[in-house]
Amino acid sequence: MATELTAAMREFLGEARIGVVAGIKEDGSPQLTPIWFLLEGDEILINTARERAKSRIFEREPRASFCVFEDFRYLTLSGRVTISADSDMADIKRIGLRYKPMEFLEKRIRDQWGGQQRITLHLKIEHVVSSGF
Amino acid sequence: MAIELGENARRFLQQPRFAVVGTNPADGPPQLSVVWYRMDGDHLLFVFSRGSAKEKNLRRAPYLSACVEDGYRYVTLSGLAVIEEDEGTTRALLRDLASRYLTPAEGKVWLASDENSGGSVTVRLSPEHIVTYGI
Repeated sequence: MATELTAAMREFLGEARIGVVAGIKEDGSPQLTPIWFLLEGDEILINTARERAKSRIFEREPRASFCVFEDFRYLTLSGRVTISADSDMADIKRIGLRYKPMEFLEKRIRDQWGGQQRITLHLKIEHVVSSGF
Repeated sequence: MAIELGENARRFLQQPRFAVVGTNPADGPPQLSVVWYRMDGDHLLFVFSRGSAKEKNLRRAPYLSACVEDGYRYVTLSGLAVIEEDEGTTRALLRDLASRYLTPAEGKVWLASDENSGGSVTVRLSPEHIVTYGI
C-alpha cells in the first residue's frame, strides 16, 4: 500500500471534486458524508460545523478515510484526523473558493455558517489506495 | 428496522451511478471502495470479492454504509448487510450489473474476467437510515 501521492493524484485532487469522508460511529458502523475539501501538503482539509454528527465522531475516534472518484478512477486516502477551530472562517473560505465565488461564501457565512461553531478536520494521509492512476 | 426509501431516492438510485461503500475493520481506518450496485425493492445489492477487505469486515461486523453522489445531489444509506453465498445468485447479479453499466461487448469481457478470479459473494444492504440532499 502506497503512502505518497503521485503528481497525477495531486492534480486529480486539485480539481473541484466532491469527496466522501468516512468515520467510525460508536456502535462500530461507518458514517459516510459527501463534502468539499482541500488538499494541503499531505493533509485533506474538511470544514464542518461542530454540531454535526461527524464532528462528534472524529472527536471521539480519529480514524478516517476519504474517497474521491470519477468514472473509472478513484483514490482512497486513510489516516487520522485532528481538529482545529475555524473561528475566523479562514478555512471555509479557502476550501469553499475552490467551488464557489467569494460572494456566495460570504452570503452563506452571514446566513448560516457565521452562527455555527466551524471546525476544520485535518486528515493526515498515511495510506493511499488508487485505481486508474 | 428497515426503512422505505421514498420515490425521489428510489428514482435517483435506479440510475446506474457509482456507490462509495464503507465497512469498518477491527482496527485501522474505515475501508472505502467505489462499486456498482443494483436495487432490489428498497435493498441495494453489491458483489464483493471473496477474501477482499470489505468482505472480511462485513463478516466481523455486518454494518455497511453506501453513498451515491452526483455533483451536489446525494443519497447516503446505512444499515445491516447480509452476505448471500449462493453462487447462482451472485452469477445472476453479475449479469445484471454488466447489463446495467456496460455495453454487451464490454459486459462479455467483464463477466469472463470475473469468473477467472477467486469468486464473489452477493451483499444485500437493508437501509435503516437515509440522508438525502438535492434530490
